[in-house]
Amino acid sequence: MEQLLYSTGKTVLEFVQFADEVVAKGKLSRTRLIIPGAKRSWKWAKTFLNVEDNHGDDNMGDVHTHNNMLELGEAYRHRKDPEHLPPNTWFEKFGDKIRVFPWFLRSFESKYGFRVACATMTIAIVAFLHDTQSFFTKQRLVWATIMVNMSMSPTSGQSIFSFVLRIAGTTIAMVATLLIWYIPDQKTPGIIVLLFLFISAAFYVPIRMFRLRAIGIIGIVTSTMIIGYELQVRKVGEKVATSNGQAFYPIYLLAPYRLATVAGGIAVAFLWTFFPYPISEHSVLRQSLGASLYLLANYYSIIHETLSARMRGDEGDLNLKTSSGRKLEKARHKVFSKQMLMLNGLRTYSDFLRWEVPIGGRFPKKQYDSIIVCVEKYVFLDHIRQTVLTKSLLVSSAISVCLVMPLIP
Amino acid sequence: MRLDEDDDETNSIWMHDFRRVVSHAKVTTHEVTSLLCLLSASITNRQPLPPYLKAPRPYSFSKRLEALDKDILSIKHIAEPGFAAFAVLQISTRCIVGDVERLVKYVTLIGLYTDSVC
Repeated sequence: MEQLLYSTGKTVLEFVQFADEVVAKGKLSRTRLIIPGAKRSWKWAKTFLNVEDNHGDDNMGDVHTHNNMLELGEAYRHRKDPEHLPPNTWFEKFGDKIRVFPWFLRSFESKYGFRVACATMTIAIVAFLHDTQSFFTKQRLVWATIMVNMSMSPTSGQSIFSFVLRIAGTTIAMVATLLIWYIPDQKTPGIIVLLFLFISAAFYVPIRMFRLRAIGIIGIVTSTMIIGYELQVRKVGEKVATSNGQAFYPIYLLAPYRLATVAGGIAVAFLWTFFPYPISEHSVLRQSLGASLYLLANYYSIIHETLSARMRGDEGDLNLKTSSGRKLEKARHKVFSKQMLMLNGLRTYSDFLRWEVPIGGRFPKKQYDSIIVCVEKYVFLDHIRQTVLTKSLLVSSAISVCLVMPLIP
Repeated sequence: MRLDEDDDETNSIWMHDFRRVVSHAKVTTHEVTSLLCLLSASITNRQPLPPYLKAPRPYSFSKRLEALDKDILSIKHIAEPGFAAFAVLQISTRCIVGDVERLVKYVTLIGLYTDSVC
């Protein structure tokens, strides 16, 4: 325990010293814009450029886990192509550049983009045909088009979840706008004050209930649009308002129309989420789990090497950047944080499974969950082993034992 | 206060023996790494695990210790700082091996089974 306390204390002390140093330099006495240093910017620029040309990436692990780009290390990034040797002549190199295009089109992202484009065009086609063009403008179908590409997400469980949220948000907005309009007896100042109150209250949802943020945002946008339109018509007159081809509806019709277009758009999006084939949470969860196990193997082997190095005594000086001990430590921290991100993503997907329409045999959720728990425990145990063995070879404490005890099967 | 290998407490004979065993013991093995990689590949590519796959056996740490000194695990050494270290090691190694076994079991349960595992 002393060892654990010691290293915690040391880190905190370093942090405090750093803070004191910054204060002493007078950096905190005035307000200023924090700009990332040259080293950080250079690193960012490098990673930015790297992302563009790693076409050998097989997208394992970074399968849209909430935009956390995870690189799974050398073995996964520069995977050799079993069908192509590395290019030698300039002609072969040129050919390799050409192969980037089909690779791009074959990627998961392009397939999904094509799907969304199809779904959007299903509604948008109405606007491009001569016979139905005026109908599209008159009935405000453009809102349905926007809804389609706003509410689709790659996996079906997530999509259904967001569909439900959006319909709920629009329904709430519809009811709210009618109330806002009729409570002050259709008088403009009262309407504006009530709308302001409603919007302020609705922001509670995106701020405090982040998972349900779509309800709040859609509610705010829809109610503002409905009320804004009605007030605008009142101001400029019906003649100007209808001059662009949109029909004028009084608010008791406009609000339900809005709900109807949203529902229509979502119905189309729903169809295209399932139509050629659904991308289920199941397969994403499975692939992330595979990636996570790979990371686990990685982590284990790093710890193995750290322990062996410590026992052979050839770790070198930890203060030197080039020493093997330092390199191992860096790699260890990297893999550990990746694994933590991965586990977070896994848990999120496991939660979304509930929203998926079960077709066919049930998904072995229990088994998957137990694997996830196993991986979590494993990382934790490895962490303890590493702490016990590497920091001070022979010192440990009853505390660590207590930590381990509940995990014993 | 930092207790390190050079501290007075570690100078006892018990400690000396213990350290010798620990430094010779392979507390971790590469088997676990390859098994985890196999599990990962089989889950990712929906392919069954290879047949006759063996989960690594827990390293018989205590047996080695006892071979060195019969009394090494007797209760009278419980105050030794290394005793707790040993306990943590032993328990966590056992847990990890148990977890690997369970992982293999679950992976086979979700359908990636072979005829003989473990």
